[in-house]
Amino acid sequence: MSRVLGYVFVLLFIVGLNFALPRLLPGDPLTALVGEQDLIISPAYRQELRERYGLDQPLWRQLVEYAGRLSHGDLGYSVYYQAPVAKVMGPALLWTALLCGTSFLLSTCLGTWLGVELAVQRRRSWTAAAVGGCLVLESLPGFLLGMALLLIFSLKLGWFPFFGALEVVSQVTRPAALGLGILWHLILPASTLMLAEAPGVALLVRASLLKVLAAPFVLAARARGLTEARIKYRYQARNALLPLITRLGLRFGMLWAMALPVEVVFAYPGAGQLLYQALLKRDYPLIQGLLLVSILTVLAGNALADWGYRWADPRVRSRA
Amino acid sequence: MKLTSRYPLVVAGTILLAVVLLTALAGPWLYPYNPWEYAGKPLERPSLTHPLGTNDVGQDLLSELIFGTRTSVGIGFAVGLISILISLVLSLSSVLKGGMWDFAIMRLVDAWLTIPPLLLILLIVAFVPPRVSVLILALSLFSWAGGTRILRARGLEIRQEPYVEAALAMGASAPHLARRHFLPGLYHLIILSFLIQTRRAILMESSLAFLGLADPQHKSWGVMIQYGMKFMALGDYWLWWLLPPALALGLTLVSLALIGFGLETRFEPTLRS
Repeated sequence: MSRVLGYVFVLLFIVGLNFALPRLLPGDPLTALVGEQDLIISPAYRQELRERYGLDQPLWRQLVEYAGRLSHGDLGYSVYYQAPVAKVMGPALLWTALLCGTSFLLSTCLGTWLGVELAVQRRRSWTAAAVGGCLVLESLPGFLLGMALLLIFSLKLGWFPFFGALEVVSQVTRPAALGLGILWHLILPASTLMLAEAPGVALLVRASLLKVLAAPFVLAARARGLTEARIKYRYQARNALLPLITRLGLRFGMLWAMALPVEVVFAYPGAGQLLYQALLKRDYPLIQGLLLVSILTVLAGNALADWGYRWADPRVRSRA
Repeated sequence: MKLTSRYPLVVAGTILLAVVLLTALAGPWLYPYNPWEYAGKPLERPSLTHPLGTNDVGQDLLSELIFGTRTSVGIGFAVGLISILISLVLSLSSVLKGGMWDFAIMRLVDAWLTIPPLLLILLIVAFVPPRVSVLILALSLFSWAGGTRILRARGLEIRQEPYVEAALAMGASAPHLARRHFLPGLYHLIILSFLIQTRRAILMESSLAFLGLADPQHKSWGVMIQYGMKFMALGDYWLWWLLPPALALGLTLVSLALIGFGLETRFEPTLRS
């Protein structure tokens, strides 16, 4: 229950920030609502705009109206694209969902596998090197990794395209070629995010596993003659499940945020790239809409992780 | 020598970090040119007068790199310091006061941890001009929650200790308890979360600068990378324009991570392999 309260609180905080920031700004909140290029206007027109956006109303009336518009899914009107914000965001959000979803799945699988192996084979010398590698990768910012991959694999070797998400010419050809083009463009940005994400997962799984390597239940499982793979994943790695779920919920949000600079590096047409363009063009309604939707997504990911935690932990389940 | 063999990661990280800090402190005596001075022709290749060449308007890249150390590392340490202070005050007060105060603080921490900081900082700097002070405040605003949770958990354990009970029975005041009994038991966690927050702050500052949202009056590594990226496809320019700031940033972050990981392994023996 208190968890739900927490989400409601975060949501209110962010909507409040979204509402307050343009109005707290020194200068005219009209700048934030219609963009800078429209400021050179006659006083009469300015007054008309003020009335249209309700800026002549008292603050609480504005807040009520803002909340009312949000509840209808009306996020405002993009100044640069001259279209409703929701419409401009749609395709970009889909691209980001594809990018984040792919790298989220891949990094979880790869990280879990690597973490289990690192813990089980802890006496081998390669694991020490791998742990070091994981530490280095985890501490580097995503855009640096992305630039390294971009430089090596597309600029120097020319194996992968260096911008966009689609083949420009293939829009007219068969769907198979289209799909292949999407995959081709996805590989580098998705591996960047995966390289940035998987090491953290691996280190977490490794740490959880090291605690139970010699636990009595492992000995019992081995005595019953279960296969090593079953012991590793069904028995030992089970111990890492709860911290992993907690982390994945948080990491989903971080991944969404980390995708932003990576999308800029690869000129991937996702939400991060759109946000970047909106920031450059000072398209305030679009910035606010994008951030609101992103944070909603992140909160949804967290709520999902909470639910998963409940599902995976028998102790919490039986108490509820 | 013994120290090196026992904590190789910590020693390596500390040496790396010391080099970076010295560069930051000695910066003004080290850089050959003023980083804003048009010291040469645009896009010069590395030479004796300009060891890392010049950028597209003829400013010396080595000077930019050395100057950038101050901005990047300075912001990182300031944020680390501010956020650990906030965490310390909040966690100690929540342990010592308990009750509704503790409940409220912990719910706030839970909620705060779900917010991805980069997104909200973007929202803030989109509206407020990103001066260095604004960046430090905005970054600190989103860095205190994790530390608070860790420090509070350990603080609750310390609260159960007999010596704390004895001090309480003798009527020790809250400030006295905090200074005399809680702080010594929290030192290692304070250092760890300071390292973590500093690292995250440097990382986020560089990401913001890379997106062109840093203070335009203070060049940093992220800003250099942002401009260098535009000339990435141009011949070998990335070798002296992009690689040095990327390496400097990477090495700083890695050194902080190494120290943190080494200390964590030291404090929690089960993690030792």
